Amino acid sequence: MGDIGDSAAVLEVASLAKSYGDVHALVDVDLVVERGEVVGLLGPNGAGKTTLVSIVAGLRSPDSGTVLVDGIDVVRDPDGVHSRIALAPQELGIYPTVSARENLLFFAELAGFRGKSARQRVEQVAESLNLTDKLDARAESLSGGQKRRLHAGMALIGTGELLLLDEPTAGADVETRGQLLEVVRERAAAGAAVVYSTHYLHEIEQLAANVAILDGGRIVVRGPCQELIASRGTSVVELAFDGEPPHDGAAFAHAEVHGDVARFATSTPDEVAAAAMKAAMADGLNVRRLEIIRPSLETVYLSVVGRRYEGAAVEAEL
Amino acid sequence: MSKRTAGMPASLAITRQSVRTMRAELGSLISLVAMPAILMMVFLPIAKDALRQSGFRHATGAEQVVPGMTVGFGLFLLGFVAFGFMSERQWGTWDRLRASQARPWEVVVGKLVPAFGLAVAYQLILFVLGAALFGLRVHGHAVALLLIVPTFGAAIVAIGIFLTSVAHTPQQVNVVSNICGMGLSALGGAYVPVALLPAWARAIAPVTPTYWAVRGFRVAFLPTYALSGAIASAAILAGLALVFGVAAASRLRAEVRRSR
Repeated sequence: MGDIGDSAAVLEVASLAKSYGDVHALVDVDLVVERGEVVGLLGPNGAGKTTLVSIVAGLRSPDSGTVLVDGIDVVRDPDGVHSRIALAPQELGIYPTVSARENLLFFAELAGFRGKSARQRVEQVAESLNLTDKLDARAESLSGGQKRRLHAGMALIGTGELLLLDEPTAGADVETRGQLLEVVRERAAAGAAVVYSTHYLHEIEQLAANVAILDGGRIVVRGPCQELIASRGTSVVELAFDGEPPHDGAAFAHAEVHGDVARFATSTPDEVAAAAMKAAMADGLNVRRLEIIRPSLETVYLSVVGRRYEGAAVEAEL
Repeated sequence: MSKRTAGMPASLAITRQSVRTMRAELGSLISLVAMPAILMMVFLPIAKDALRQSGFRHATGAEQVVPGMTVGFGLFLLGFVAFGFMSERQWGTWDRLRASQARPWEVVVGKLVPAFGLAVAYQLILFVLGAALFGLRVHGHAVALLLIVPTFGAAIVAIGIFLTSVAHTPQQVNVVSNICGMGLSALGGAYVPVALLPAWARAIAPVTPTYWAVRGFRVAFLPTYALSGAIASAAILAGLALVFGVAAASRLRAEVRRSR
């Protein structure tokens, strides 16, 4: 982790811990996010992503450790921190009975804009999220994707140095995701530090973000996306069987078996896939699915956490 | 990017947003004006007879039914006040507000000011309507209005926030709001004078805020009552507002602490 007080660091999390009863949500978490940096926060459900974001936003108190935003301690001076952050929580948070414009205007006003300046800011954000035509519609009448864009827009309308986006594209359509990613890139380019929690690995790759993978409340991997893929992103061949996979034979000697799935980490995926299929057919086994996962963030995740990313199946459908 | 200017106070921004969300509930508010207006018309002759039998020879009945219905239906505003807070949780905007630049006291002020304004405006609207339609006039002390309208408004707001702090769902708010609206109003003499209530109801009437509000308004609209009666009523209503406000604040603070 970087030195505390480093002027480039907007967010500095050190030795952060949080438990709910016997459940350790966060264990000794360190994280530094610098100006202009996008950190993709990945992890399975229950890994601690939302707890981490909530503590940084001052919505929850840590059991121990420190969180500094621009050098200000979030526990000691939450008001000082709130003027520096913008939060889009995981759950949709909009005022359904007023117009999209009034939703955006409110958060522009809370962020310190007023009058003409606030109205201009609303127009800018609406344009960047393709919501201009819907500004005067009641928020509850918007489509799911439009609501998601509005939800994110209410965070993006401020000028906080730290953007906390907790699964901002959950349930959003492809168009919405693309537009949101573009705006996030622009904000980072303008100097904002961004913590971007998501279930969609491709988004992190598209953002060329730095990655922090949380598992069991710990950050198990941290680094630039492309470097991680280059260093840890071995191809994976995955076969799902009707019934148990074979445990013996040369073709499956190096397979990891989880339930009805056999998985090979290999630099020659095509050859391994062919050999595995041939061996399975020779044994009279029925292969339900064969998948070759090329080096990507998903294979990085697989190599670190030991299981496939929960969002991967959803992502494949989108 | 637009230039960020010297900021609008967060409480003002929250007040404006609360007014916007209230505006969306205009239909419900209109019904809260229409219903008592209809009941005023229905009960006017009965109230007239009751007041004249009590010695107010020139009473039109408006002196009882207009403030009575105003106080009675005013209690339905408890639901509006409570929903103003609860809907933030329901809509998922509460955490956004907590993480915004608004300080906790600014959030509370931003929510309370429009709720208080609504409670005061509601009473004034019904009084103006009562004057226009049923001949309501101030035959007593006008100062009593200045004392009771804001203190009753404050009591509604405080009880509404307390309701927010104890209720877990909007349905619970609805139930309590309806029970208060009907039950406390009847017991407090909002619909018929307390003197005409059964003995057991007369005995418990003074524990209701409606009793003190109705009593205070009688000082304004009927002759012969001393201003001291309105002062006492206003003091009790203010005290109720303080007690419920403090209780609500402590419960909400404890809840925020637990959620962390």
